[in-house]
Amino acid sequence: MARARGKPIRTQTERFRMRSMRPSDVDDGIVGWFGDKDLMNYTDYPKIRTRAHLLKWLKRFDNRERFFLAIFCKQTDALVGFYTLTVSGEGMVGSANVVIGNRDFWGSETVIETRRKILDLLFYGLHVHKVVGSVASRNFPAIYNYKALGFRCEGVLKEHVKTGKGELCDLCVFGLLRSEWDEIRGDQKK
Amino acid sequence: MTDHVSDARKLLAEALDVEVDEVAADASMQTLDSWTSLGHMRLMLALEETVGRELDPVVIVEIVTVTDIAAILEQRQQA
Repeated sequence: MARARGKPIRTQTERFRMRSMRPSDVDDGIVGWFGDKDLMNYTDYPKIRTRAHLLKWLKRFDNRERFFLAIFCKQTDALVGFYTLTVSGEGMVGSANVVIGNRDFWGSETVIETRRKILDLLFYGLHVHKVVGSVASRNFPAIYNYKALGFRCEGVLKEHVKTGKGELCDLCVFGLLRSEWDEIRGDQKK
Repeated sequence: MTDHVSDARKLLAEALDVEVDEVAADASMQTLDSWTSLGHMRLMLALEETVGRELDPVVIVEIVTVTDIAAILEQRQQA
């Protein structure tokens, strides 16, 4: 018997609202993000081409161990991007991958602001012990987004992944412990 | 090291599109508001162009301060 889905979650920052994605949020815009080779070059999301395909994939997010959070701009209600969160290892380890599909929000600390809140959610709401993230070594903005929030690089896996464009790439594995986040939180200038 | 710190400040300032005076010698990702993800990407590309090769990922992931940038520039000179 399938386990019941968890309740939708929501949180917010100064500029953004984040909540579990609803079927009614799915539009051609977000579907287009999955087909954008430049945007998705360093991700391993499925190659989604239609609303139906995205809606089917969204059902896999159960709000217990897998979460899909849409990011909305408070000022304009524009869909900015999304997070996919996972909790694994009997609740020990979390991850938070992000796509900022709306290019109007690139380079404006969107990930820093929202991921800080997502870390609070993972550590203090979902009670994980550690958060991890994997980044292709040539994805410099994503490396910045982890380093700026205090993540450590725990290792580099040589020629471990292929980009969406078919290039072999190293994979940098980042980690952050709850104890480390406790110390960093509140000291972040950004 | 002083010259390399000066060069590092210039490189970072150009990547972040700010005046060099706004980049302190002890600036870091944490202290410099203008140091953003896109600025960091421009910095990495400019740094690699300056040293003439792609940087090892083990090095890339540790670049968080002006001092770190200066150290890479110094290693290039010594090579």
